[in-house]
Amino acid sequence: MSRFLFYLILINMMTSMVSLTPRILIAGSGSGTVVSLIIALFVGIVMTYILVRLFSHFPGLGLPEILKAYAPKWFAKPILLFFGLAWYTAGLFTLIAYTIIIIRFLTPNMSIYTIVLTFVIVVTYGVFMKARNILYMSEIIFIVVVPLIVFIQLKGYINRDLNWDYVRIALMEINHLPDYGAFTSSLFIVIGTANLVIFNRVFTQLKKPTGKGMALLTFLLAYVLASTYFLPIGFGGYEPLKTTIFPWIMTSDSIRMKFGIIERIVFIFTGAFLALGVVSIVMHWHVSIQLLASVFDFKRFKWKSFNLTFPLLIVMFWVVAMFVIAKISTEGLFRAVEMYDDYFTPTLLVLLVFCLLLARKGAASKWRKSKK
Amino acid sequence: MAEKQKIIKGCIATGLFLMMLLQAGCAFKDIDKRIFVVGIGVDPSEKVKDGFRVTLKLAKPYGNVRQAQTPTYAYLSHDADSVAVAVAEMETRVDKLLDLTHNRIIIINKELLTKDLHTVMDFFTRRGDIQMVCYIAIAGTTSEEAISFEPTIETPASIALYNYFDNTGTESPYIVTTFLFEFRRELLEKGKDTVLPIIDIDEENQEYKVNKSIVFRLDKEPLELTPEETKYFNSLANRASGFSYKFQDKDHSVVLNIYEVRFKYEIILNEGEPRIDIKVTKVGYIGESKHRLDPSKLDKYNKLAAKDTKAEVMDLLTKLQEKNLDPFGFGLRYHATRLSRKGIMEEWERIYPEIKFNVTVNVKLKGTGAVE
Repeated sequence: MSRFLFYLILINMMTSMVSLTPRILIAGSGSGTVVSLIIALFVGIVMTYILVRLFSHFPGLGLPEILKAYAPKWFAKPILLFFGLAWYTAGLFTLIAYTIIIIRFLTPNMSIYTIVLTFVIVVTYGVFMKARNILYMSEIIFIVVVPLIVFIQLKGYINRDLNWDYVRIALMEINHLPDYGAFTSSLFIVIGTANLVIFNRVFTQLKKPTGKGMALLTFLLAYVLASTYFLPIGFGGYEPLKTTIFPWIMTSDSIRMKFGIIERIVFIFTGAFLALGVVSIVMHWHVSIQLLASVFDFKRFKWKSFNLTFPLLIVMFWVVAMFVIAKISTEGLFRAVEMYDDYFTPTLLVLLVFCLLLARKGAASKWRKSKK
Repeated sequence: MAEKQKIIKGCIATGLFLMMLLQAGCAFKDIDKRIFVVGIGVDPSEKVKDGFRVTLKLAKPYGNVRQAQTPTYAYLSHDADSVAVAVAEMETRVDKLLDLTHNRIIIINKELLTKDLHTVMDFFTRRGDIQMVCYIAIAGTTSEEAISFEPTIETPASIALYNYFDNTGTESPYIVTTFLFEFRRELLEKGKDTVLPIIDIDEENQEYKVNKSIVFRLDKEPLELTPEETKYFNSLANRASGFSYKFQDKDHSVVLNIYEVRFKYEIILNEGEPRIDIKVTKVGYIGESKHRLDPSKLDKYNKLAAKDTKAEVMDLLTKLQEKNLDPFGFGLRYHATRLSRKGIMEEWERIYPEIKFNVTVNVKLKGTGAVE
């Protein structure tokens, strides 16, 4: 398995780790979380396997090209539009979440528009890069940032103030029936492979998933899912944590580096996750803009010889982002994310698999015809 | 075309670099426009009914610490009907931004523990910029006095109060350390009660004295532990090591220096009477003796020390049990080792007052020190 595939999955996973998912898992879902986590892990692995296998039939092709070749237009366009909007929303949620984190914990006196603007400018530059370069960028940031995050988490795990009894209380909820909300939001964490809809253009030699690769992936997914849920509980308690908005920020604030350069780790920690967050937004919006551009390809909308579809789309991205951030409250954000996770993520996955199966069938019959 | 792209890229890069100019300073507020709060004390107010008197310890900015001969701190007190209002109103009394992010200690008046604790704590946990690794302590007299007291050994540009609790300066088994996040989780979750250190002022020697503590649960009367009890609690619950574990009989009077403590317990309900099996292991050497000691008789000293420690531990445990307080977290362990169901903590509340303690103490002395 290509290592870039891992970055696609891991970055999606780690960005959700601190932002919105922990609260949905801890506060919003009652008691069925543990079983939901296990099921989500299982489903996530199976889905990853299926998606990678299906995409390996179409080396170097993104979903727009695949559908164009093997599906009727009336079928392809709505689906691509839906996917494009879904990916845009996913990126938008990350953007809003990190904006709120910055304004709440890092710079309470800064204007919210300045923060969004700084984000959006960097992200815009990223979105217009080639898919291959985005993957290279993700690799660089991943290598710089992840050791730091792992170090801080290890520091948390070996901390004496981490009370394992709280974690065990959470674990003992295993006798409750799984909760749909917890299942879908943890499913969203593990399903970064779906980014292949566009990034498959880069993978010209995507091989079938290997056993070793899948084992490593399973281990990483399990670690991140477990950490997302259990480590904050060990620091913040089981009941008390239900009332916190950003459990992971509180947790990183509870970890103390006695002899570190700075004692309060939360700044390094959120800084590291911000870097990952930017990469994640770039990825999501890149996918989104490519999908949308394949739907609205304004051939005549040109300035000299320069097609203005992409600039138009990105300006719309900005405007919507600014508008939503100005309007939305934290509570509203969580509602929206829950709704997205509950309805959109599963629909999206089912549709994606369905499209690919259909295309594969079409490809097989075409191949047979040409052979005759 | 390529030429044009180069120009566009160049423009974007220049724009990004120009943005850096805006980023100078700490979130648009320079350090000389901020004043750092290094200690917060909360008392009940005498002027405002049901209000609070908040005292802030402010670090005065100096260009060069060596110039400072006089104390480098200023103190500010204000009465208002809530902590947030008091802090907000104090902002009109200083010319700079009150920066709470560097505060490391919050001192609370004893009376507030039984009165308005929720209102007090709410401010500190709701504000994202206050560290969760703040120390929480109780004032022996009033918080105002404890915060604004300047011990003779306090050096300029260091804060004596921090050194007591952060285990990088003095390390003593008499000093209990409780962080804000611990306090929050223990206060809001049933099963483990909080222990807070009491900061006294030694009027004769002009120093702080931190050797007592207070055990506390929301709906219960707080229980003050004597220095001896604090030491035994701390040595078990927090594995505090150090000198001054003393034992005495007819011909011996020995002080032990313990460097390792192990504390394990198990709740046993299904073998006869409900009991908690507690196993304590202490490793150390002898620090002081009134008589010459025989190194070959270490076993005998081990037994004597174990007998003495066992009596002390039993006393502490039964005293806490009589008051129905549980700072060791037995209730939490009970909850953590049983599959979750309704009413599990009510069950424990019925069991705890009746439960028997079965303490085994094991002292392992490794030597008699540097002399016999």
